Amino acid sequence: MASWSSVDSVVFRVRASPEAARLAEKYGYRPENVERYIDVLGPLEARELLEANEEPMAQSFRCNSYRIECGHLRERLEGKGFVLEEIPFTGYGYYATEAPFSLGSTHEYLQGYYYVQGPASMVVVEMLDPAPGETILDAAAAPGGKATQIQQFTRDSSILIAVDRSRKRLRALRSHMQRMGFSNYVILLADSRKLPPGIVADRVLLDAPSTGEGVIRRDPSRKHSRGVEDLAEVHRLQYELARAVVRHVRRGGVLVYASCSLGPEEGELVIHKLVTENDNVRVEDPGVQAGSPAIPGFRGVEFDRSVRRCVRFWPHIQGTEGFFMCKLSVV
Amino acid sequence: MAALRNLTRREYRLLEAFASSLGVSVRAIALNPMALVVPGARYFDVFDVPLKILQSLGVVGGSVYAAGFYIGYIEEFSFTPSLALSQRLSRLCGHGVDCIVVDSEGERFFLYGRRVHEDHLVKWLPGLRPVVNEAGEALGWGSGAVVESRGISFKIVEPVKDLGWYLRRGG
Repeated sequence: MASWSSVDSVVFRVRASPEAARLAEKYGYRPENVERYIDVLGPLEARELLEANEEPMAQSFRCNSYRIECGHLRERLEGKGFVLEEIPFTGYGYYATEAPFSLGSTHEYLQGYYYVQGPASMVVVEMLDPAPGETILDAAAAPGGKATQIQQFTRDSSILIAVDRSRKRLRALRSHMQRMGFSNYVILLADSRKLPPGIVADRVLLDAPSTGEGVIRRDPSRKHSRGVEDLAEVHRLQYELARAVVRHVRRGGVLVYASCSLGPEEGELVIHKLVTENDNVRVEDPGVQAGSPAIPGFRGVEFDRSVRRCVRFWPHIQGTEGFFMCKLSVV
Repeated sequence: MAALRNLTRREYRLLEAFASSLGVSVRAIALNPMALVVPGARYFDVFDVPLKILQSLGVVGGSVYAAGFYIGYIEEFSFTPSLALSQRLSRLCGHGVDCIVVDSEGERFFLYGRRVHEDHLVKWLPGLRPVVNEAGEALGWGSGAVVESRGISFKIVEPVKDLGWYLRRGG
C-alpha cells in the first residue's frame, strides 16, 4: 500500500490568504475553507461559488415512476398549487419553483409517489445505471434516496443489499423503501468496511459519508461547522470505504463513488488514491450528459489523468448542490 | 443480533386468521412470511421475503435490519398489520377484500390520525379494515365501529395506522 502522508500533508494544510480571510468574513465561512475554494477555482470563480451558495435552492423531487405515471403526478401537484419545472438533466426530476406547502407533507408524498431529493444527487444512480436482475450493493444507503432510485429504475427487480452503520438512519431508509412500495431488498446494519467477503455485486454504489459542504445552500451552518482537520478525517473514512467496497464488485462490474462535496479532498483525491493503488480499478466514461469535468489537481498534487473523467456539479455552474461522482470498473 | 427465521405453526395460524378476517387467503398477504427476531425484544417484525432475497441472505451475515416486504409485527400472539400491507391489499378492494372508503374530507381527517365520521364515509364496514380514498389509494388501517351519542347511533372509523405516520414517526 502506498504511503500518502506527503500528499496529505500538502492537501490538508491549514492556511488562509488575506483575500480568503476577507471573503470568509463577508460570507461567514472559515477562512481555510475559502482558501481551498480559491486554490481550486481561482479568486474570481471562488467568489461566484460563494455568491451562488447564498441563493437558497428550489425544492426538488424525483417522481417514483414505479408507483405513478409522472405526468399524472405533475397534474396532481400542480392542481394543489405547486409550480413545477422539469430538471433538464434527469429523467424523473422536478423543481418545485413555487410551493404552497412543504413537498414532504402532501398526500402524494405519503403515497410514495416521489422522493424529495437534490437534482445532482439524482444523477448518481443514472451513472450507476442498474439493470433488472442485477445484484446491487448500496454501501452507505441511508436515508435511502439512491436505494429507492435503484429499485425504481429496476422496477423492484434487482437484489438490493443496502448497508448503513447508523441504526437511526436505517429507520428512515426502511420507511422510505416501504412508503415507495419496494420489496426486493435486504437492509444490513453494518460497517461497509467490514462486510462478509461473500457479498459480490454486479454494481456497487458508495455515496460516501461527507462533510456535506455541497449542501450549504440548504444548510448554511455547514459554512463553518467543519474545518480542515474534520475534512482530513472524513477523507480517511471515504478512502477506507472505497478501498473496502472494491472487494465486493464482481470482476467486470461497476463501482460508482459519490460525495456531496465541493472540494477535491472528498472526490478526486479519493479516486486518485484508489486507481493508483489498484491496477484492476479504472475510471470509466461517466455515461451521463451533465456536470463539469473533475478537478485535475490541487495544491501542486496532480491527480491521475483518468480522474478527469469523473464529474462535478457546482452551485454556480449547474445551479445544483455541490456533488462529485465517478464511475469505475473493476477488471 | 437480529436473525430471520420461519414462522412457527402457531404464528402462521395468526396470519391465516387475520387474512381470513379480511376474506382472503394468507397467500394474498405473504408468499413467504418470515420473522425477524431481535433477542430480548417484546415483538418481532414479519416480512414477506422474496426467494431471490432469501438466497442472498446466506452471504450477507447476521446483521439484517429488514428484508423484503414488511407485512406487520407479532406481539404476544397478536398480529398488527403494516401500512405497506394496506397498500398491497388495497389493490384487492372490491375484488375479495372489503375495504372502508372515505371521501376527500375524510381522507384528510384520517391522515391526520383523526376519527372519520359518517358523513365522510363512502363505504363503512365493522372491524379492522384497509381504508382507501375514492380513487382506491390506500390510506392505512382503520377500525369501523358504531358509537352512541344522546341516544343516536353513528358509524365512525377510528384510524389504527394511517399513512401520516410516515411523517410523524417514520422519517
